[in-house]
Amino acid sequence: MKPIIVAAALAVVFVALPHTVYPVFATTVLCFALFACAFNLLVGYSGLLSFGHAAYFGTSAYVTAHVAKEWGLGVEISILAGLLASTLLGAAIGAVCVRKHGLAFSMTTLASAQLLYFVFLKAPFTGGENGIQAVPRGQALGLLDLGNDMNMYYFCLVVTGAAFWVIYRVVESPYGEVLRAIQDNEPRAVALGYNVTLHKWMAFVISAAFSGLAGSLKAITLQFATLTDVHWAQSGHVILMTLIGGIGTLLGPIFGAALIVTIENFLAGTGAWVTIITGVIFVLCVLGFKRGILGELMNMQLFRKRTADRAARSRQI
Amino acid sequence: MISKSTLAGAVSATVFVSGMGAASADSIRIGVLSDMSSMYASTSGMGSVEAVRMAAEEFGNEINGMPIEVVYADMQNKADIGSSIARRWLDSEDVDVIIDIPNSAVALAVQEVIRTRPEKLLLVTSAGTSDLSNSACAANSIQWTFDTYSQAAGLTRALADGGLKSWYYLTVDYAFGLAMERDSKGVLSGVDGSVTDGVTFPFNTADYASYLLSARRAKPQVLAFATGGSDTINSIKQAREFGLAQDGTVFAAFSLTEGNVTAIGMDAAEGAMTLTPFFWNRNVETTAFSETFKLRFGSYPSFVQAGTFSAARSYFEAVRATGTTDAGKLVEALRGMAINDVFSSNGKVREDGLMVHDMYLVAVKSPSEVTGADDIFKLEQVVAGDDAFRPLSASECPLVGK
Repeated sequence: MKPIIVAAALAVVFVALPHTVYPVFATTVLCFALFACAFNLLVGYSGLLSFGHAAYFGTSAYVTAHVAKEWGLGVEISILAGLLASTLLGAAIGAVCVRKHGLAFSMTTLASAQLLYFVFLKAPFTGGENGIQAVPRGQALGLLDLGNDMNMYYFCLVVTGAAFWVIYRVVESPYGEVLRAIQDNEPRAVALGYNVTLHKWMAFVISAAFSGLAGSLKAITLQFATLTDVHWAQSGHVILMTLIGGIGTLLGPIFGAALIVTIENFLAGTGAWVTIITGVIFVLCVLGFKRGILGELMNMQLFRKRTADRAARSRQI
Repeated sequence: MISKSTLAGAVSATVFVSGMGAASADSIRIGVLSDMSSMYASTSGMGSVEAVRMAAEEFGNEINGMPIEVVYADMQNKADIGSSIARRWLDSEDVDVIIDIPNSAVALAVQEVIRTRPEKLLLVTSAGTSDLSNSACAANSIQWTFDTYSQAAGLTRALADGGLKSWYYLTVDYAFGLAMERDSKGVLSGVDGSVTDGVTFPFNTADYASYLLSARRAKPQVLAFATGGSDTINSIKQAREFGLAQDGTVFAAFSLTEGNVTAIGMDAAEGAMTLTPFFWNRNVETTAFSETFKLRFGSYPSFVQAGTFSAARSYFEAVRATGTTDAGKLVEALRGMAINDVFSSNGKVREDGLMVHDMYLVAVKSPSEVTGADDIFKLEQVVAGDDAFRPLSASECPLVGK
């Protein structure tokens, strides 16, 4: 499928979406889709499973909420402040974690995230269990009133669309190729002369930055930042979304995020069944759809680009 | 890709269609936003839904010809989900009143949402942050059962009036514990001859040895537990093991539920005191209500579930009296009503949105006093609402005095 067709189809769906479903729900889907895509950059394309990504999502949410509410600096500066905070945090934590491999890497990321959770629990500016509430939405570029849910959605769509395009370009670039090479066989990449640690660190920083962007957008959309955003369950949440959608596919995380957020919101009326249903889907994906739901679909013969090539080659012979 | 957009389209179409079918302006829709799969599932959860259903049945499930519809949702103790569901309920699903909300962050978030929708009502019967009726108060929101101030200050005042003036605080070191310690010390500062000391510990501590040893050295009259949940359970259990009760020290817990006591064990918890808005076997009426609740739900109601029943009942009564679901008129009606039911005695809704009612100073029964299963608390003293809750003169609510 040519990328431009996919992009056009996605654009149509997302532009029409807030007219069919509740706009704030659609905006939340966008935020978590961005979070999942950022996480996928690390786990799907670099092979680094981080258990502590909530740290960047939550830090950015708190910084954005604080700057927007207490300093009153407007939506653009608040989002940039949150983005800066999560990028710097990602750079610092990444520098420590990226030197480790496999399980040690995952555990160090989890430990850093938990450390940050307890810092936020105690820090006065976060409001502890109450969280930072009543974050103003403000006006985008002084023109668009973001208090209107539709405007908020389209603003978010533009930002996440741009972010997703950047992630796409990173993945399809020579740098992305090197990341995949490192994921496939790290010793060979080292032997070829690549600075593996630097490449992994850069992937970590980019992933942390976009996770932070997702957190900032969420803080402005829902108008609060709470401990839920830095809790380890949020790290698990993003792993769940990415895994179900399809690790290592570009669109899988978007699908996974949409599915999980939809289940949580619209099946909440079933009471405690929500978590059971989510769990069952997760188990099915781990057992049956190892590439994630979207990953498996794309792997099927119908969508294989190589089918046509194979037919062409067999004719030649 | 095709599959994703088809799925998204199918889901959204289904939701849209189902939403259209159910939306109706001539029914009274009450939404129970609770936690049904996490830490508040037993004190709130489906029990709160059952409580609202019982209240609706008292009115024959309809008021002035309009049917009562009870909807509920599990927000999994997550603020994002809770806030999204509340917004959707209020904006596109015609829910007139939201009730329960066990998580303080979610309650505050929903209160911000409802502030800009003045015809909708919020009845917080589960969350305890005092900000809801203080600095963040809203004209169309009522905090019905308790807040952290009443738990701390009410208990302190009751015990200090009884002559217990030397207090040692075991405080969990974040906003929740620190707020309760502060409010308790605020009461003691007005008491002659009071002595306070204390120590803070990190959230979710497992070993309280060092903290309890310093408490033991202080030999206070009251050992106050400014803690919650598993911290309360573990600290009280260990305090008993370290022999702190042997010196005659009274254990005063600012937050202690029947569930906590069961986990601590009656032997270890015996004599511990707390302030509670309701306990199931207080008198004949509460016992009858609780037995009915237990038949339907399977366990006795927590004070949150009883409070939810009371709030729903009062809401329906106000709707019947005013003939409208507009929050402005309902709050006015509720403020004029005396709230006397199985949960609340001498209850009244104040202008800051707090429902002030009698609280009960209770002690955990010793194993020899227990008459049956689930018989946990015995009443020591009734504390009038005005002595337990924050006085209006000290309120930071901008609505007071207008």
